[in-house]
Amino acid sequence: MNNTLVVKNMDGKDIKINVIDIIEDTELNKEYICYSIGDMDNVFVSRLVRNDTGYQLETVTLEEKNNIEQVMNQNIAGEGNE
Amino acid sequence: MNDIKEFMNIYITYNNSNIEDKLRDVITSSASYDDKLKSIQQIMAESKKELSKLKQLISTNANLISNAKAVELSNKIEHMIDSLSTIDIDINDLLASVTSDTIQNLKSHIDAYEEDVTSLDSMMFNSLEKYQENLYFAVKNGAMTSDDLSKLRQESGLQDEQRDAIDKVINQLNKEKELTDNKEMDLSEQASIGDKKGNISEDSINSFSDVIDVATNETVSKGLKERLNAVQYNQDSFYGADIQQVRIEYEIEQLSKRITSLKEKEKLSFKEAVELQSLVAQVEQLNEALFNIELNRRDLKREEKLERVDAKISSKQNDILEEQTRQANSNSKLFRYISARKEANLTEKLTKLQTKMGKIQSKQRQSALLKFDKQNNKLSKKATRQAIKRVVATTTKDKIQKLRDLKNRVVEETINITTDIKNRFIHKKEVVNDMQNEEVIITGQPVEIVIMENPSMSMQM
Repeated sequence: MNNTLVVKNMDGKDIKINVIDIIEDTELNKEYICYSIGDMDNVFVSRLVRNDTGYQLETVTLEEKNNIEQVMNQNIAGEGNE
Repeated sequence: MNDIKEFMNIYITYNNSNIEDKLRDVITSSASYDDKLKSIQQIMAESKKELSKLKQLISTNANLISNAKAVELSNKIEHMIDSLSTIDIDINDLLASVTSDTIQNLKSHIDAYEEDVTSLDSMMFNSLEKYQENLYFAVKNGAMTSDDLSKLRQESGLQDEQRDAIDKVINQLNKEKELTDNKEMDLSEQASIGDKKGNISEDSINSFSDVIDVATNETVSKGLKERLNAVQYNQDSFYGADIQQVRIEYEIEQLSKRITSLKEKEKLSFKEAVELQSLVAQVEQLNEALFNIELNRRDLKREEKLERVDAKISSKQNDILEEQTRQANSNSKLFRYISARKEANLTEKLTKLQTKMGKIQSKQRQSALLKFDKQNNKLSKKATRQAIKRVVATTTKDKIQKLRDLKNRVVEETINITTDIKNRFIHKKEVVNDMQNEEVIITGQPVEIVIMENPSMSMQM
């Protein structure tokens, strides 16, 4: 599985991101994408919204950010425990 | 006899001269100092002269009174002459400078002198008794007769004291004469019986009349002084049983006087008490001697002697009973006294013990209170510590329990949350494959999340 995606930023320039995970919140019916940009180690999250032409990465709320952050850490812990 | 008279006259004249009164009269009179001085010096000179004569007479007639008494009297008179000289000197001082001190000094000297006069008076009185005794023995030994005594009593110039002394001697002699007459009668009866038996010349005991006759014959040609001396030295050899009896009776009388005077005193010194006991013993001995003499008397019949013995025994028995009663009373008094003393001592000891006990109890109480306080403080602190420990333990236990509960709840919650998260969030990483071929645009700002390196640890914490 190729985790790399080429996306356009708000300036129209293409940037390459490494997708770490895609998570669906079944209660809110929303999806989120966790990724790093370029060679950086920082992990970012954006809301993943599908439209007619493709996908849009939108800004998450603080609650959403916390939820995803917790899920990601739990997931890593689960992987560690496994 | 003339010497004795002179001695007594000088003494009595001196005794009546009242030198201290004369001195006081002169000192307190309103005469001039020169006149006072002359008067006082004259009194002093006369007094010294009289005293010197008295002293001389005492020394020359020492055999009439005892030698010791003569020496004592001489010394006393010497002392009085010295006192007069001192007074004389003080009077000169007084006349030279009249101050209250010198007057006081003079008065004290005069007082001392007056004391000496009183003392001398007492001693002279004793001499008077001796004088009386000598007169008595002079008559008893034939140196004087009763007629001589009567003549002596009627002579002028005698003082009352001398006449009293002579009266006493005459009375005593009259009493004895009655007794002697009776005895002479008995003796003459015995002599007539003895003549019949033809053994009168072998009788070793002379009759009283024989003694008197011998004494009279021996002494009648001598002067009074020599006769008195002879009486003094030889009286014992002249005495038959009767004279001895009279002498003992006289001694008993003298001792009884002293005993009476001692008994009449309110309080006796130790020396006087010993003297009293000694005198009583002497009187008892003399009575015994008297009794023995009476038993040996020839003029008494056997029945009379037995009667006297019986009377003596009864008297002794009475004395013993009286003594026993007195002793019992005395013992009772002594016992009561001792009991009272013991009780007082015991009460005193008890009081002391009670006081001591009170102090000890007080100390013990204080000590016990201190100990109790100490123990109480200790226990209180211990109790506090234990209470604190219990509270701390309880609190700690509660806290631990709460923390455990909290942890459990947290764990449970975490599990629940984890479960919830697992149920709620679904990983759909494969969607990325679909996105490869789709247009992806970043319209919003990416938000960074923090991934923990070891999230399980944070979960445990």
